[in-house]
Amino acid sequence: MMLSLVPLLPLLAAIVAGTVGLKRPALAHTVTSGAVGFAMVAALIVSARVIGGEPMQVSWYDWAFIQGYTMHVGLWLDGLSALMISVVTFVSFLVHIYAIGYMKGDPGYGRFFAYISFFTFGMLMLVLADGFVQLFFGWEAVGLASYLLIGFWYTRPSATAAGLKAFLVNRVGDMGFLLGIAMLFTYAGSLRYSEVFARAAMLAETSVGFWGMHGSVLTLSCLLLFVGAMGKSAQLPLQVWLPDSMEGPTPISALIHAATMVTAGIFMVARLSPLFELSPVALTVVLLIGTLTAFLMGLVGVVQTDIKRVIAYSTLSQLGYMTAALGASAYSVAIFHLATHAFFKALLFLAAGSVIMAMHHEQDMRRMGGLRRLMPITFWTSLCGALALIGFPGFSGFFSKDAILEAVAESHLPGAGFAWLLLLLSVFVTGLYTFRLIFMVFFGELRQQDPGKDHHEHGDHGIHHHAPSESPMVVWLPLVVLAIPSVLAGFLLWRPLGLGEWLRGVVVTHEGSEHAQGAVAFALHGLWSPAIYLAMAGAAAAWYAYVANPSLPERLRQRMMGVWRILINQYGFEALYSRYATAAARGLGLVLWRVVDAGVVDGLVVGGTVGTMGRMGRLLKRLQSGYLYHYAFAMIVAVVLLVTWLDWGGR
Amino acid sequence: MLAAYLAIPFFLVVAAGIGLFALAAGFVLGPRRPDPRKAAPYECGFEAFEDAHMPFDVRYYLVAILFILFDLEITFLFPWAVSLNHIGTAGLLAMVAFLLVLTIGFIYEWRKGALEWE
Amino acid sequence: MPLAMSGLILVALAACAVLLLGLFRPQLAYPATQVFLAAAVVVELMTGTSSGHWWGGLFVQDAFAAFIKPVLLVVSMAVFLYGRPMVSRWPQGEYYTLGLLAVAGMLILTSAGHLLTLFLGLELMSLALYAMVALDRDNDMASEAAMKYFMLGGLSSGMLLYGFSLLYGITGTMNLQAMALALGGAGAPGSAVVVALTFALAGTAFKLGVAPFHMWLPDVYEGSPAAVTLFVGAAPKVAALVLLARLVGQGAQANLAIWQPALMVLALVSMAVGSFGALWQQNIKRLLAYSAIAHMGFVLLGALAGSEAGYGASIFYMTSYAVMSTAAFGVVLVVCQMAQTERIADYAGLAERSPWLAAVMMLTMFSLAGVPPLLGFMAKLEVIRAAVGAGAVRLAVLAVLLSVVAAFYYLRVVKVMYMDAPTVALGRSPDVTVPADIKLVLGLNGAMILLLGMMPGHVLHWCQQALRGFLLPS
Repeated sequence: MMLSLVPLLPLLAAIVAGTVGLKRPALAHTVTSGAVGFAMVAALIVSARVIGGEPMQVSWYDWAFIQGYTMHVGLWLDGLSALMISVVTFVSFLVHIYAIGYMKGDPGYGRFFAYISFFTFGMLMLVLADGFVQLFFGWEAVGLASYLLIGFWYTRPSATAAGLKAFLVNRVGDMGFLLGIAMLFTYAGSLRYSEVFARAAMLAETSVGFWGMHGSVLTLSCLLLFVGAMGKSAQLPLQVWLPDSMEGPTPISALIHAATMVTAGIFMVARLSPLFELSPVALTVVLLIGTLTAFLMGLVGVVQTDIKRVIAYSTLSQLGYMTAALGASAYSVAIFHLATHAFFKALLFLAAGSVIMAMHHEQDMRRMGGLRRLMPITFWTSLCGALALIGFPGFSGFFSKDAILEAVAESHLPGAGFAWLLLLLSVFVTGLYTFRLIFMVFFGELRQQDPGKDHHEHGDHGIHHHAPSESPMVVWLPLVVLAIPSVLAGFLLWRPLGLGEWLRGVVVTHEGSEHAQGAVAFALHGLWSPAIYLAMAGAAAAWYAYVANPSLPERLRQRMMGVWRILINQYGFEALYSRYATAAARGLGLVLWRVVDAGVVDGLVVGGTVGTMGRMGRLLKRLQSGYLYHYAFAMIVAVVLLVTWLDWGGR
Repeated sequence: MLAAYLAIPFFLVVAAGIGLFALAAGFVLGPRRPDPRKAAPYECGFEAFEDAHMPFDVRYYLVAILFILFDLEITFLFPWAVSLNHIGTAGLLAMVAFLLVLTIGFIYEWRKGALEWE
Repeated sequence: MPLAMSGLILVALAACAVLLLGLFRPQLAYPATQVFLAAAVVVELMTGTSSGHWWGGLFVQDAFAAFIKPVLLVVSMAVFLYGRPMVSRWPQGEYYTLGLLAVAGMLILTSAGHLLTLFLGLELMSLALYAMVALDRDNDMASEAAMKYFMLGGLSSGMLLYGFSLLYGITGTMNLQAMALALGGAGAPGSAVVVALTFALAGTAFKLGVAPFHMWLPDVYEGSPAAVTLFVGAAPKVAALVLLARLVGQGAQANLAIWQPALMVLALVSMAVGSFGALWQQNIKRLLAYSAIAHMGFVLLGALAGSEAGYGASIFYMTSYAVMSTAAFGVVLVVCQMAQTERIADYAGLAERSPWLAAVMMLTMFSLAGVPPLLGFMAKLEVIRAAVGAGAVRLAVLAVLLSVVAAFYYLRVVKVMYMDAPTVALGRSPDVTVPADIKLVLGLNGAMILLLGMMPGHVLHWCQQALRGFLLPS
């Protein structure tokens, strides 16, 4: 009962806010924040009951029957989903609160709250799914919410384009996802996790072949499912939508494109760990994709100048880490990093939003600087987030990231050594771009040159191009609240997640690996690993380049123009897609439209059909003369014809 | 099966035959000396003074219909009264219910003014 | 006296009481009607399970009747609620009395296990409906519609009776159960059975409004005042399906070979006529009339399977249709009150004028068109599955194609409401306040279309349960 409330409250709130709340801002935010707050409390209560105990199941109703197979709708709560709903409702609640301040005065205020509550509902349905149907439902629901929110300021062409891009790229991923589900349903005959898992070994032995290639059903479906994860969790090569999604309001970037939705892919692979575990091929692919994403996207982050884009690339990189952990079979560690990342990345985004508000919707870091003194709360909380992100000892990211590195080091998959090396290098890159952001925004002098250039004309925040100052309490309070888990979560969750105690029996965990030790011991052990020194080196390099010697970056850029171009163009993925894939699709579309649709379908099929239909309609209209005797006559003729036909037909 | 119905067409043919025979016999045997008075409709001694299709007052129909309604109820009462000994209390109650419904209808038509001529 | 008759008796008493109330306290006629109907629902729910046969099948109570009767009553309650503002200008007592008598007729029909009561119930319902159409005496259109309805209804009743008398002649019984046994045991059925069943089917098809016995329907729907169209279009359709199920499903279940092809033809013609006929209609009631014809074709898709599952699908479809049709006519009625118009073009701008109303109408139109995940889609899915199960695959494919044609005119209504500039009618009309209870129930009605579409499991299950043991062993 209480479990059902967790997803249903946000849904109800979304409906209320989306109908009666559209023109009543106060009602909209009260209802949605209240509902999500209550959902959070309920989520924490049920999670406390489930973690370490028996899973909980709530059956709602049977949705449909196909060929004797019943598609069931219900909720399934175990350690994994309990953790997820706690994180989701917690971050979502804070974002709701934060948005009250951030979105103030926006014409779409009620709509915004309806959307984020709907998103919360979708995400909760996704993680509480007890089978693939509902997983897919949640998957698409959050995709829809994400699309709506990226394009929230729909009068801005760039926002609608970004929304469309996110939707289309995700469609590519969803295609694979859907095919994977269909394949599992075909071969396992079920869409419920437990039943599919029970047949995992059988699937691994079944072999399918096409085009002369053979592979096990399991490997193929895992790879297809992972394509879905690549789309949603923005892994190479489907990562292109995430940086653009920063066109949405900042609270959304924090909630959807950093803390929760983008981790859906990670969650899905962890949820399906009993399948992935049986397919070394799939795991290798997962590991390598994750590693490459972590490294390459981190590098792009170094050259970005838009504050939100830097964090977006950092998100990509961190998602790469999680994916790599999944590839190394360290599912619970991936979830561990997911949880800590949710806190510190939401924190960083919300802090960035706070900065952006203070700068009158300026997002270019080159125009910022020196905000340390003007916005102390934002600065200190950002610093917490940054330290957590680079994995400074004791901060949450340190535990989860080190655990990932260890797991990858222990992996025996082909390419694991390479992956480990690359991930280690990424740690340096992480330190570099993170502290580049911190130094550019908060240190030095304010470089705000052209304060009149306020091109995002939405909302009036009451501050008019004066010196930036600290944001209102509804904005900074969530920062403070998020800073606490950003610092502590790693330490507190080490045993449950780092060692997988909460997830035992839920995802595949490995007993007795060598890092099975207490948090403090692990922290001390971590001091000997090269990672933290690399991270600090990164931070130091950032300090040198942006504080001690500010002209250095520009000189470097001039010197290494080629490298800079590659990075700023995201290794040409964008160009590849827009120049070739999109062009090809558009060309095909053009041909289909002009030739097939306009010519064949419209001209012959539809045109002809419409003509026929129109004629039939008119004929019927003429038959309906309005004369009683015509009608009576028609009835009698019909009876005579029927009798004749039936009697003769019967012989 | 249809053989059982053979009597019906047979009957039809005989009936038609007899009718035709009577008409034909009259036509052939009877003397015919028409004059204007004999050819006029309603040969009853009066002058035909106006068109036979004259409009009746619509209230006449209303009263006629109501009359027929209650008239028919009476025809229902006769067999009931005769067989009352056999159908017992159930029959009595059924008729009470029937008359009750009829009374409600009667109240309705009275109240609606259907029984007023003017 | 069987306990299960209590609901019927209550409704019959209500008709008498409301007739008298209409004479002395007209303003009480409406509340009294609703109270009586609500009481009847409760009584039906309480006594409905006491099943059995009485008086040689003259009165039958089974799971089927126990499901249908509350549906009929609840639909009628909603109909009376929506119609209230319009009816308040007429002699109210008569409208509600006739309505209650029609409901009583439907209840009798639902519980009939015998040709006599089947016909009795049907005629009680039909006569009341004819009179209801003519109730607005100063309305020429309504009088014409009533005349057509009455004459053609008489013709159809004649056909039905002819079929009944032949059936009686062939089998020597009017009890449906005995008739099923007699028809099943006689070896190859002769021409007499074919003729009898065809005539009975023709009469039934008229009541359902199935093409080619549909000619009355557009004229009556258009001509009747909206409050009456609403009534004619909802519960009596359910009753007509009951007639089909009782007569053909129970009485002539052994003669599947005769009536199944007939139903296939009727279904196809009906779907085609309904889908194409509505394309050029300008009047919303006429459009909904053709929509009704098409939907009755879909209802037959389920029934022609002749199995319990098939009838279950049909009943589900019909119940869903009653819900959707009530919602659609509910909106039509409100617009009628608001702007005195029934032209589709005048619905332009409804979305701005009254977003709530437009939303309910949109939902209903989408549902009627069969757009997932709404109720109409689930209903279509079920009957099409039933038809495919019965081997009528080609018919099922045609049904889907025709529903695409039909989608066009439903979407046209939505387009007009949401995208066209308001015309004079709606733009200039005075602000008529819609009573709160009507708003509420319309909203609930719309919500039902959405929610039952998303979770049809329970209702479907009830429909299947209601048909368990419906087909008599033969």
